[in-house]
Amino acid sequence: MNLFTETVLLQRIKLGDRGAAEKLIDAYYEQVYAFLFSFCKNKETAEDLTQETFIKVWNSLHGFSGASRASTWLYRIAYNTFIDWRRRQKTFYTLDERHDTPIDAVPFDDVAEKLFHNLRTLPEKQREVIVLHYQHDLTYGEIARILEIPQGTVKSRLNAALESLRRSEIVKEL
Amino acid sequence: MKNSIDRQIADVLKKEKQAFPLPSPTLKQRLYASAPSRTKRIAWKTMLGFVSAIIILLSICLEHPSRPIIVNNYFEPTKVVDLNDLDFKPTKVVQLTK
Repeated sequence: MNLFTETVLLQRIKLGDRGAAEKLIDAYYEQVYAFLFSFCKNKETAEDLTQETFIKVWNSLHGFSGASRASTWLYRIAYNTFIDWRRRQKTFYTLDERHDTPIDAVPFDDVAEKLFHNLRTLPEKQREVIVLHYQHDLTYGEIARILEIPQGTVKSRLNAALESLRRSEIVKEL
Repeated sequence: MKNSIDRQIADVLKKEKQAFPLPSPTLKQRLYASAPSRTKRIAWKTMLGFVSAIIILLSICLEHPSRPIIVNNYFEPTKVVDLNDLDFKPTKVVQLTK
């Protein structure tokens, strides 16, 4: 979906066009769900947070200025929804401590499995950036808007993560 | 070397993403129902207007709870009042003629 289509769609939703809302859901539901799943690593939680994200989208349509892409705006709302949810959980956990991904089902070879393990041991902030960039194909600018941090911080976190991986044994094998 | 790391990380994370469990399709249907619609907007505005009208009426009634609606006076006999008994001086005196 291009920028023009996204903007038109959001304008139509603002005017109460339910068909446009359904198109937006169809276009982004799975993406938002996968985005949230990569953070919370739990199917039910990701489903609940996806529902909550779209409800927030309906309620904050007037706040969309069009300065960024609708997808970036959606991801930012989704990320804030995840942060709110994590605060409500009281018990803080890192991205690595809870995971429902059926890792055994992923056809990793030895090198890839070691790399996957190393990625999981990265500090949370570095892993966030790595996941958004490599798993969700987001640009530095988009990541900066979603996490509400400067673009330079995105780059430095990404470089630090890559540097850390380079120092690890596994990358020497690549 | 850099490209190799990039490619490997992307491959690993993409494979992980493919293994994510799929969301339940019924939840999408529920979202369709939650979407804003023109009918909902109109209903909301009607409700808002109705509530405002009730609030205005209530505020009028509460502000003037004893506002008299003088009906009985029409049926009371005309009283003859001595002007000297009044506490105030009327600005205009009408002389009644028989």
